Amino acid sequence: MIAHDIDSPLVRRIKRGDAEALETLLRRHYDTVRAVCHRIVLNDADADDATQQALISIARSIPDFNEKSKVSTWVYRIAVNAALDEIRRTKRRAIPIGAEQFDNISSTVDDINAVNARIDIQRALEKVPDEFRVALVLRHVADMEYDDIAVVLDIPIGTVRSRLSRGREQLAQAMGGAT
Amino acid sequence: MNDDQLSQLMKDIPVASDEARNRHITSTLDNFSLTETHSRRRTSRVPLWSVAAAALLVVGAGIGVSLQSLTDDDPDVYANEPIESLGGMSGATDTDDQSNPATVKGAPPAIGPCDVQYAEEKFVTIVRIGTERVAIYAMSTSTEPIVRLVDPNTCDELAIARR
Repeated sequence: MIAHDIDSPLVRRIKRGDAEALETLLRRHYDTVRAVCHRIVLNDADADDATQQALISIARSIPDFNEKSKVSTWVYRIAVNAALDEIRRTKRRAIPIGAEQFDNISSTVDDINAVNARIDIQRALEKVPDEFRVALVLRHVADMEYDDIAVVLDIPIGTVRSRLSRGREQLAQAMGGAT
Repeated sequence: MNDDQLSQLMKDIPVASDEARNRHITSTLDNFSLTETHSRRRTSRVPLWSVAAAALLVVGAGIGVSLQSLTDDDPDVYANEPIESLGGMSGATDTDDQSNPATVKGAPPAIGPCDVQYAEEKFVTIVRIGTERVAIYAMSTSTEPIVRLVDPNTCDELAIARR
């Protein structure tokens, strides 16, 4: 068991059948799970489906979670799997996000710049292969350390570094050298 | 752009509405009973083919589905079969296949199409249709119920039934 994991007490309660603890855990990680899913599948609808599946999978698997890793690491691994499975299931790559999705929030120059940045990163991420994008998402969306990413992806830490490096390179190229 | 700026940009995603968040979480809680899960793991096995048949009949009758997207390998077995008919195609139930770590032990699976598939969908059973072993999964996304038939050896999707 990982010491000082704030989620561990919740997991123990869930294993005893405490539904409130399960709801607390799901709400605590919901935003990050959805963000991870969104940055991997790259569109809202598939992100919602992947998020729903991830939550269900978390709920189903908790009774057998051995707590050898941090709960958050385990949760985000499930989120990554759900997102990758959603990509495989839909048999299509991301639907390019349209500027019209942000039109209703664009009123000032700052807003417009923020919207343009969102669109740029979204379109750039679409050009980054899944394996590199997943590493980038875990590092920069879930704020995971390299060793935790290695656990999630079941790869050596050196491979994590190389995937992040290559992912950043490709992202920079896709964004016109901005990164 | 440095790492902090990249992180900020990567996290700049329109947040889910409270309605969507509550729907996802409530749906998960509604569809998952911790008590049932614990008791299911401790009780003796029921004939899984009957569970699969019942599940398929219920889903098939309820949503009027038909099979789609067949692989080229098994067109004679599944082509255009109504999903209801699969309920009658019971046979030897290969319960040993439940030893798949992702379905029984619940450990996060390795990333890969088959492992992911086993982990993320509600496993129903593996049945034998003719000489073919087929894994049947049922799941419900936020938008539609799905029943999927999968080759348990190759993880190839043989057929999928949607609303």
